[in-house]
Formats: sequence, C-alpha cells, structure tokens
Amino acid sequence: MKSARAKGLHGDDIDFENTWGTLASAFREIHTKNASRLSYEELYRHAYRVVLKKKGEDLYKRVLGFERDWLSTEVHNSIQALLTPNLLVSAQAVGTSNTNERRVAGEKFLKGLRQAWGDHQVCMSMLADVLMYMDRVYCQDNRHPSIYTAAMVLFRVDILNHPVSDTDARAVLDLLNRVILDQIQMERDGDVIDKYLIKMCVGMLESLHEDEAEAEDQRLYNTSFELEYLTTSKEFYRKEAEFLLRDSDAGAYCRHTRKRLDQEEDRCKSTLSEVTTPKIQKVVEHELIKNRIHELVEMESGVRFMIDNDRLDELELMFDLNSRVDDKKMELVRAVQKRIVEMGADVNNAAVAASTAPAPAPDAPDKGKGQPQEKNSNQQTIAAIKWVEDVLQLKDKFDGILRTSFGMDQPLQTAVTRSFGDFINSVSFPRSSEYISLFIDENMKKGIKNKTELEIDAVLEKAIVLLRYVQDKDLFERYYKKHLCRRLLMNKSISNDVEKQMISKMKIELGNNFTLKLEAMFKDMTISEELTSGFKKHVEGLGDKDPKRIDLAINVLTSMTWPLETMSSGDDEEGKRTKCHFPPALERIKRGFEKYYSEKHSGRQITWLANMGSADIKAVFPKVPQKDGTTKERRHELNVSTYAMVILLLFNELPADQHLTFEEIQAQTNIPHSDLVRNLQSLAVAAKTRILIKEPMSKDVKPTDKFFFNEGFKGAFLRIKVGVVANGNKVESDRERRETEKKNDDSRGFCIEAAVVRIMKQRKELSHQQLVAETLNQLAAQFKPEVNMIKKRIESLIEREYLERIEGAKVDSYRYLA
Amino acid sequence: MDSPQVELMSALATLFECGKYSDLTIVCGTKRYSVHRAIVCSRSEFFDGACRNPFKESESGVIDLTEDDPEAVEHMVNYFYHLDYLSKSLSRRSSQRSRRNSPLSPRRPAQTRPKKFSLAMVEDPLMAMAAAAGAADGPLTPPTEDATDEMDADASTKLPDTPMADQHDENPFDALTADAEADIEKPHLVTHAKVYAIAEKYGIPGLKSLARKKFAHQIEMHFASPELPEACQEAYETTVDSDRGLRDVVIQTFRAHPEISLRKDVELAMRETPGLSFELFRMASGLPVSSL
Repeated sequence: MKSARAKGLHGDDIDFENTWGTLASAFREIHTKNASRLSYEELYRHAYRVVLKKKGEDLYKRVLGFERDWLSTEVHNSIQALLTPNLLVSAQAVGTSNTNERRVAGEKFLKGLRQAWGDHQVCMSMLADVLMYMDRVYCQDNRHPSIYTAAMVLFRVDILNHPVSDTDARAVLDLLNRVILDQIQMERDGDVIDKYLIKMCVGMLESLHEDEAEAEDQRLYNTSFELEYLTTSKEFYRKEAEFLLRDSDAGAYCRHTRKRLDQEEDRCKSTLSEVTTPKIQKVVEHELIKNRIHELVEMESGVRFMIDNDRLDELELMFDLNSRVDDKKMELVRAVQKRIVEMGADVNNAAVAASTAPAPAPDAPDKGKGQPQEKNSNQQTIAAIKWVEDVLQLKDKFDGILRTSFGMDQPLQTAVTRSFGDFINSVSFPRSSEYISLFIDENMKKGIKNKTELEIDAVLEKAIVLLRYVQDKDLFERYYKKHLCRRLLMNKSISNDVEKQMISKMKIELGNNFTLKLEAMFKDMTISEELTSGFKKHVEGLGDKDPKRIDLAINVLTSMTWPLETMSSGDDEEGKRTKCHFPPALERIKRGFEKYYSEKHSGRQITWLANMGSADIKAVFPKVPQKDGTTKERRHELNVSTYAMVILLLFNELPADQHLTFEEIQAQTNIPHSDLVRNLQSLAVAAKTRILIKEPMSKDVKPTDKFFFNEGFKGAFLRIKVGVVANGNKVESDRERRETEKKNDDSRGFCIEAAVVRIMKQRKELSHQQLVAETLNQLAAQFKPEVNMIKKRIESLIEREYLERIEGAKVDSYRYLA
Repeated sequence: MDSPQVELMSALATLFECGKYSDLTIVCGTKRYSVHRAIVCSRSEFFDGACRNPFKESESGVIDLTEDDPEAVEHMVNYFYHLDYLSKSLSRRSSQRSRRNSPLSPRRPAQTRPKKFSLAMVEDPLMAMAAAAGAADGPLTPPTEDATDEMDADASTKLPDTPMADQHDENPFDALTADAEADIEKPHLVTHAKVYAIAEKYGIPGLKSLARKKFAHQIEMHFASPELPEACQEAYETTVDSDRGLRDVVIQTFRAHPEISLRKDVELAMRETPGLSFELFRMASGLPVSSL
C-alpha cells in the first residue's frame, strides 16, 4: 500500500483522529440506544472517506477495539450482576437447592444473557450498516471477516468464554449450559419453563462457532451444549429405565417411553434445535429401548402377558418401540414365537388328553365342549374338532394382533406363520392331518347344515388355512381320501356341491396333482349312478315283473383310487379275503349285474365288498301282545348293513321259536368274525334296534350265544336305522395310526424314488448333497421326507442299477444309468 | 422492446414525476427528490441501511446528500427510475407528460426536470470546469419549454454524424433514445466519472457499470476534449486503488493515444495525481499497470 497523499482533488485530507472521535461517540450512542439523533448519512460518509483515504485498516481495528472494550466493561458488568450465589451453587450441584428459586435465578440469568446478546446483535448490525463501505472495500479486498462477524466472535471470546469470576474458573458458557440443562431437567420432572427464552439462548449458541473457521459442525451449540445435553440425557434415561423396570409394568413402560420420545421431539422443536432431534431420540431409544428391550419383553407384564390378555394397544407400542431399534424386531419376534408354540402345545396337549381320557371322565382337560357321548370314538372326534377350532381361534387371535398391533409387519408375519407350522407339525403331535380331515368330515356331514353359502365358504376357508401349515400333505391326502370315501359311499355328505367346492379350494392351494385322485373318486360315483339306473332299465327290459325283485344300487370303485383297505374293519386279515355267502335272491341279482357290467366293460374284475353296503328291508312283525296290550301287526322299514340283511334273511326261513347260534350264523353266511360280532351287537344288543333276541343277554357276543327273532319288537318310527357299531369316521387308534403312517411311509418311498430318478435322468451326474437338496425341494409341496429315508431309497436304486456311485469323485456322487 | 417493459418503465417514470406514494425525500442542496423506499432501498445498500436502522433519517424520512455532487445525485436518482441518465428522450417524454399533468399534480418538481436540461445546456466543453464548480450553487436559469426544444434542435444540427451505433446497440432503450443524441454528443467525461464514484459510494452496481460504459465510450471519442485531465483526476481520486473500473479505461486511452501525454493540461493533472502518474509510468516501463 502506498502512503496516503496529503492533497486530493477535493483538497480536504481528513483528520483520522477527529473522524474516529466522531464515529466512536456515535457508536457509544448506538450502544446506549440513542441512535435516533444521529445522521446515518454523516456517519456513512465519514467511514467512507476514511476508507477512501486508505485508513480502512485503522478503522477496522479501532472498531473492534471499541467493541472489545464495550463488551468487557459494560456488558461484562451487566452479566456479572446476574450471577447470584443461588445460581452459582445450583449450577454446581443440580438438585440441591429449592427448585423454584433455582428456576427463577436461572431464568434471570438467561434473560440477561439473551438481552446482552440481542443488544449486541442489533448494535452491530447498525454499526455494520454504517461501516458498509469498509466491509465492502476494505474487508473484501483484504479478506477480513466482516465487521459484524468479527464482533460476534468477540462476544464469544469476551463474554461466553470469560471465566465466571476470579475465583470460579468456569466459563460463562459452561454456566449457561448448566442452567439450560437444569431448566430442561425441571421440565422433565413436570415443571413449566420458559421454552422461548431457552430457544433464544440456543439460537445464540447456534449462530456462534467454536473457532474462527466457522465450520458448519463447529457451532457452539454442537460443540458445547449439545454434547453435554446428550451425555446428561443418557445418564438420566439410563436411571429412568432402571427405575421404570423395577416399579412399573411393561405397558406403562412402553407408554412412558413413547411419551418421552414425543417430549424430546417437541423439546427439540420448541426449546432447542431440530438438528438435535435424531440424536436425542437415539439416546432415548438406546437407553430406554435397546438396552432394555429384552428385560422389557420378558417382564411378567411383558409380551406374554399382553398376548394373553389381548392388550393390543400395548403390543402396538411394544412393536413400535422394538422397530425403532431393530428392523428385524428380534426380541418381539422371539417372544411372540415362543408364546405361539407354547399356546399351540397347550392346544395339542388338550386334544391328546381329551382323546385319550376315559369315557366316564367328562371333566377332562376338554372343558365342556359337550359331554363326551356314549362312545369313545365320538369323544375323540370331538377332541379333533375342538383341536381344529382351538387352532383356528389361536390363529384368529394372532391375525388380530398382526393386523391391529403389528401393522402386518413382514418379519412378524413370517414368524407367526413359522410358529404355527412348528406346533402343528410338532413331532410330539402327529395328528394334525387327521384332525383337519376329520374337521372337514364333520362339517360335511353335519356342520354345514342350515348355513348360508358365505358361512360355508368361511368354514372351508378355515380348513384350507390350517392345511397350509401342514407339512405332510401326503398324510393329509390319505386321511382325506379315507374320510371322503366313507362320506360318499354312505351318502353322508349334506351337499355334493360343497364337497366339490372343497376339492377346488384344495386344488388352488395344493395343486392339480393333489386332487387328481379325489376327483377320480367323484367320477366313479357319477359313473356308478349311471350304471345303477342303466341296470335298472336293463332289468325292467327283461320283462318278468317280479314283485319281490330287489332294487340294486351299486357303486363300482376303481381299486387304485379308493382307499378300500381302510374301509374294512381291519380286525382280522383273513376277513378281507373271504366271500360272504349271499342268499339265493341276492346271489341272482349279483350275477345279473356282473353279466350286465362285463357286457359294458369287458375284462374287468368285480370284487363285491359286502361289508360296505347297506340295504332297506321291509319287515313285518306279527300280532303279538305287547307290553302295552296292543296286538297290532307292525310294519317297519329297516335300514341295515348288507351283512345285517344277510343275517336277518336267515331268520325269514326259521320258525318263530327256533334259534340260531353264533356259530351257525357264521357257517351259513361266512361273514368275517369281527363284522359278524358287530352286526349281531347292533341287531341284538343295541336297545332301540333289538330285532333279534340274544341268549344269554349280554353285551359281548360269544360263539355259543343263541339268537331268536324278536316278534315283540316295537319301534317308535316307521323307518328304523340299524347302525353298525363303530361305523363312522373317527380318530384312529394308535395302532391304526402306526399302520397308516407305515403305509404313508411306503408310498413316500415310492415318491422319493420317483423324484430321485426324475432328477438324475435330467442331470445325469450329481453329488449326494445336491441330489438330496433337490429331492427335498421337489417334494416340499407334498411332505418333508427324512434325509435318512432318501439315503435308503438311493441305496435301493443303486442296488437295482438305476444309479451307480462315481468312483474316485471328491464328494459322494452318483451317475444315472439309462 | 417488449411492451410490458415499456409499461413498467413509463409507470416508474410517472411515479417519479408526480412523487405519488413517495415515502422518502432525498435532499441535495436546495433540491429535493421525492422518491420511494421500495425502489431506492432495493437498489442501493446505502439507502437500505439508512431506512432500516433507527437513525435520524428513518424517522424523518429525509436523507440529506448535500455533501455529494448535486449533478451526480441527480443522475443517480434518475437512474433509479429510468435505468439511465443523461438520456434525452426519456426525460423529454416524461417532462412532456408532466407538463400535461401539471395542473393535476401540484407537487411536480418543476425546477428539477428542466434544471437538468439547463445544466446540460451550460455544459459547454470550455465551461466544464466552471459548470462542475458551480453545480452546487443552485438552480440556474429557470427552464422553459423553448430551451428544451431548442436544445433538441441544436443537437440534431450540430453533430448529425456522430457515430452512436455502438451505444445504441448496448442501450436497452434503443427505441426511446433514438433521438437522444444531443447530450451524448458532449463528452460529459467528468460527469460520468462522478456518477461512477457515487454509484461506488452508495453501492449501486448497475449504475456503476452504466457509468463506466458511458465513460469508456465517450473517452474514446473525446480524448481530445479539454475535460480529459479533470476526468482522469476524478477517476483516480474518487475510488480506492483497487477499483479498476475507470482506471483501466484511462490507462487504455493513454496507451492508444500517446500524444495526449504531451498536452499541457494533462501534464498538470498528472503532476497533481500521483496514482495516475504512477500507473502511467508502469505502463510506459512495460510493467503490469496494477500493483494489486
């Protein structure tokens, strides 16, 4: 810079000291709020001239010196006046002195500081306007901070960073932080504080910086106050969490946490700075949730309690809190899963207990779902249906929780589904497939009576929902076929349409393969109907109108499609092979049909399953004096099993006082032993259908028992149905189940082999691991085979030379042999 | 020019002529300009500062610029409303309008408008010094319509061939200034330098660059003018060294026309203005002119 020249065009070189004197006294006026007497133009002109005459640097330094003086005398003194002992003491040990006094002293201090800061800002902005030319020319050319900025820095240096007093080394800034924190603590404890006042002070800290660089993250607010705020808050919430876990229940804890989160957010908005919002929320989340979530979930009043008592709103809070700290919501998922499996196990156990409980113990775990009725089988069926309904209820409950409390959250949905699958497919409870099928059976036979289409659909949908969880679909198919078979043959279904509806639902859910055989069964039924009517016409066409002719309704069943073996009583193996001796009248019509059928379908073999048929017979009971004195002849239409019909026809030929022994009946009819026993029981023992009289009268049937025709039989109705003992769909006995499972395992063996061959045919060579994995994958829709079983099937395929081991391969591998 | 712009410009001109809605007065010597804070403060940070702070000015609504050059002040105020100064047609058109309106607008600053013209009238190149010196002395001959018309006529006859094409291209108000050659034919070098200085002082960047443009254009044509020495001095005395706006133009002129250094009056000015002589020395020595 060249030195200033003495003489200019205007000839009036300025006297710097004079001019500065004018400016300084004007500045004092401004600081004491007397600016209205000053001419802005004049001050501006002075400053302009000084700068024009290259005295900008002097001016800049003088102004800062002036401000420095002003701050460290006038402003400093006014701040000192606010530092009452009360304030200083309370700042050292928060919570010792009286809260109210502390708050008042704090507010006074904050007000004073805000006032000083506000004044400083206003005055400096006026000064800066006066010194505009200096800022524009001198400061810019020499890269000095503007006078305003420089003066703001002075406020930090000379006021905020100044020690409180000669004896107290803490800076005023520290005191300010303490006071604000103290006020916030008061608010947390329920006091009302002057939020706006604090906000103003925070604004000051936000507009000042830690150093001259003025980096964005170096604001005093961030470097000084916010740090302390987060630290003290952390400590506060850590203690609060401890206290709450000890003294309140989980629901209250959740609500309180929620409230604290909201409060902190509000506080950042109204009192502090919004940049702190995410940080303080993290602190609260960390202290009140993340570090405590396990304890919280496990509390006596925790998730389990909430689930059991349907505290949906509390669960929602719990979900909200957990998802704040964990995307996967591990703790909640774990607790919910645990509870579902527990509750599911209870349902399973109750079903087992109910089905195995002895009949005369109606107050067994199955609490009052109707009295167990006369037969054990019924009790088991009821247990099965109750199981299904309990599971559905459980499912409804958790669906409700998912919907209302968990907002259909994906991880939780998955967890719930998995847990239901877990207990439904539990190893200790192998009956779910059977129970679900029984549930459908029961509804098809009775449940859907008088229900609207919508209601029926809901029932079917329930069954499908459960079916989705079942892993071993093949086992279900086996049971369903068995139950469906009985329904169809015995005409037990209320509606064929509903049956078909169910099948199409299963088709959608489980695929075409699954329902193929079920549909074939329906097809057989249709064909049989045609056959029956066709045969009837055929017989009529023969011309010989015989009044005694027997109407024949017949079902021709494809043996591979129908689970016929399960239809037999299964008590004695040889029974299935033996053929019943029909009376001549029946034998004739049987031959007639065989002839008719072979004309239509040559080469087909018909096997007669007498154990599955039924007959309507008209019976005439002679005039015999009754107990009530009447002697009327009575006619009844009896609906009996085919076997029972065969038995009764024997008595047609017999004089009234004659009898047949059990052995005689057996010899004449060749009915399998167990079937015979059961039929005789229903004809001679069952109270309402005692068409025969047994001697001696007892429940059991012995080979030496004698049977008479009961001429004195009296029935209340014209039509009488003679049920055969144990002739409905019911829960299997353990032995039966073992058998079913064994059969199922056998057919699984075939499925596995088929899958292995299919895979190998395509891939030619494959390692053992891959083959097992692919097999599991292929069969997943049907069942989950045990790896051991797969291994055995592979061994077997190697023996039969479908596959061979690849010699010398690094890992066990196989090759397909065409 | 787009007609909406014309509309705005003439609206502003009318506002200024009538002083309607005026909420601020700029005083310069005996002259008073009724202006609008909205227009003035948004253009100059000085006026903004004067109005937004609780100094005397914001209370009284009067800003006294008597310390400044009255001519420069007038041009500055003109610029606020017309985006130009020393430009004939706008002034004339608006003065015609104000004449028409005169019965309806008692506050019409009758002296203000014509005074400018009268000043221009006396600004004979030979009288430039005197005019500048006497500018603060107050109004001269009361203006008349005749004076204006006469001057127009004067202008068109005196220098019909002045090549003004360049300026026309740059001037955003071509249409309006098409016949405004009268004033421009005179050098006005000192005036432009003063306007430049006041624009710098009060922080009006638009005016500053306009003045510089005018100065550069005029000096190119009128480097031989007797105004030159004073204009050079003005350019070097009224702004800080780092302000290269007019300085570069002056140096460029000396470089392009070395012969002007030989003029007696220029020599005198160089002796009085060390900033100028220093830079001319550096130029002559082949050094970079600016030491900054």
